[in-house]
Amino acid sequence: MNREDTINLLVKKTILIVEDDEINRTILSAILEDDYNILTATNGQEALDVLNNEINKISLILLDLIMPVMDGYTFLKIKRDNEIIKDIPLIVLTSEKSAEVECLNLGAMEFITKPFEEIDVIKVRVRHLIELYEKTVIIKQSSDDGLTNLYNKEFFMTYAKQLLTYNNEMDLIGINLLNFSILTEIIGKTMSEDLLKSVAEELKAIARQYNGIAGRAYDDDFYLLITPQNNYDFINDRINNVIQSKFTTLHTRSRLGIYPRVTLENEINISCDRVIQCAHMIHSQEQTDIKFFDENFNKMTLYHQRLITDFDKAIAEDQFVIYFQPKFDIKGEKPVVGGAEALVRWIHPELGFISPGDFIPLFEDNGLISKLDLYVFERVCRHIVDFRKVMKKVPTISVNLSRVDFYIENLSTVICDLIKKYNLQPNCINIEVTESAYVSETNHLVEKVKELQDLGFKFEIDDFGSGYSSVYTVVSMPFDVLKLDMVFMRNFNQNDKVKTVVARMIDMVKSLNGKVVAEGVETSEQYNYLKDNNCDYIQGYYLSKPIPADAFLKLIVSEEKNDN
Amino acid sequence: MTIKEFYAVINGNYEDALKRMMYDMLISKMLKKFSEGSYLTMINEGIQEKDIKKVFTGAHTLKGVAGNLSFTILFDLASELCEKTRGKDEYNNEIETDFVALKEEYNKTIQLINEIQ
Repeated sequence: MNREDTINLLVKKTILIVEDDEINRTILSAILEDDYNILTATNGQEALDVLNNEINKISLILLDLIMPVMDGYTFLKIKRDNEIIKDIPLIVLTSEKSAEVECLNLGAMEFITKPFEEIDVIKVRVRHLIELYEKTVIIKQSSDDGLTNLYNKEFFMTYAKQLLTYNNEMDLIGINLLNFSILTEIIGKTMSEDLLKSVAEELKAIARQYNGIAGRAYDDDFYLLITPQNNYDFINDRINNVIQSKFTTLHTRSRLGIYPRVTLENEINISCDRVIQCAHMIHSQEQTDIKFFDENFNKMTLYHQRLITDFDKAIAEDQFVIYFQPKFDIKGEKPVVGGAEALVRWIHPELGFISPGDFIPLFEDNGLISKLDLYVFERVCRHIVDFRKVMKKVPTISVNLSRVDFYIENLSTVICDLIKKYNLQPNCINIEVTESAYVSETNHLVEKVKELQDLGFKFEIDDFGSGYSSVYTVVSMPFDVLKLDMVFMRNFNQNDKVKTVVARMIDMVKSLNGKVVAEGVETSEQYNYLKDNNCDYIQGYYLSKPIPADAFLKLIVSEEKNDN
Repeated sequence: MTIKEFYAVINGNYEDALKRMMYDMLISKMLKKFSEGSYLTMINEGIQEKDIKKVFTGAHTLKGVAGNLSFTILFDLASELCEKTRGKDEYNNEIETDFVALKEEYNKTIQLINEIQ
């Protein structure tokens, strides 16, 4: 067998000929058997039996209409209603023009008239139909997202362009579920995928209702392109209803980024990215779950782009500056500096002071945060070395690590190398990790935290109480210090419940041999309450705002002198 | 008698048949199958039982085969019987005249096929 034969054998498709007359069957087989494998059946019932056994083999059915036992019309009806075989392309063999409309209605795609026409005509019809079918299958396979059966991003954009050629303007909507990644961690992958499927079904229904299409980019990022609306609340309502019907207690909800009235003149792929970015900018505390794309958003995007572009230069030129927010030990008679949290500030040569709120979430999104965090870690080491030149006992400085940092290869080695490079010990620097990172990266993070704890580093859970706090977190997560989020102090005077919770939290953590830091302390009343309830440290404007290194040094040096 | 001569005698269309079946060998094989088949049986039974639907089905099958074998006259006769019985519920004696003509042509064709060398 030569190579061509082998290929031919591999690619030779199978055709099922359903025809009761032997002569017709034989002639048709003779015409097609050079190019195809032929299976035959003498009536509709036999054809169903063959399909039952060879379903995956058959690329095309040639069907006679008038046959004993089960005629072609009955076969067509059964095939049309059978999910498994309905899509196999079919050519009707007929001598009656009048039968054609009925056959088309029943799912026939093409006809071969009897007596058979020129062989080449038959061959071409057969080949075309098989090719068309295979193309459709390929499109179907690659056009959906693999989970929800919505269009994937690429196909969504392709169809969006087609739709926009017929409709002057439509609304492009990006849909995202708030806190979905945390949710996945809590309910598991299977259930969260199940939720995505249900959301997708609802979006499909909305798309149908408003003459549009629905798609999914990845994870929980969805798209809708629908006829222009004046109000979009109903989309959130319908998705939230789906979520509620599945999990009544979950704190996730739908958020929308909307680009109203898009036209063909908009770059559809850019617009798709923008509506998703828009949706992602809606945070849990916001009043609205809908954000429109507008010029401000555009400016914001450009600004973010600028920050990303300037990042490397900023690191190289030491534009990032460390500020220290003292943590005061309040156990004694007078509060004394017991440590400090290192905070990063960006002094941009052209843009001036840039708020961490502007760049930290941005860098967390694109991964630059790890580079920044390690940079801060090293800068803190250098500061400690400098401080040591003028004083004996430098308080422990806490450095923030982001959840993505825990995916740095050999994180503990990298950190230990830094410590060694500056001749420091692990107890000089504590590591702060936010509660949400703890919750969202549970297993992986716990493993890494324990690794570093074994090397002598202490861990602080940052912002505890701001997100999905669970008492269980306190029990199950390795930590040395728990930092109560400033939300407790902000709501301190609302009612006595807050105070009670704070007191109990302190008790609980201390009974687990942990230390407690209260963040955001701004009044003497808060200070006194915390002191009375045995809180270890406080942080906040009441005693000190974040200060530059020289000011911090002055503060700790003066305390050391007072001590002596 | 050759295949070509056979077609000339029955006023069939040899070129057409050859286009469809590609080789004399396949034509010859199909002709033999035709001669061994019993394409009149169903029509005959239909007429005996006065079942017009059965007549239609039989005529329809014969029409298809005659067409594919390019038996022009037999094809026309079968087509006529087909049209006269298509979609009908009630038996009609008139078709028996058509059947006689059809039967005559059919038998003649079979006989001539057997004379092909």
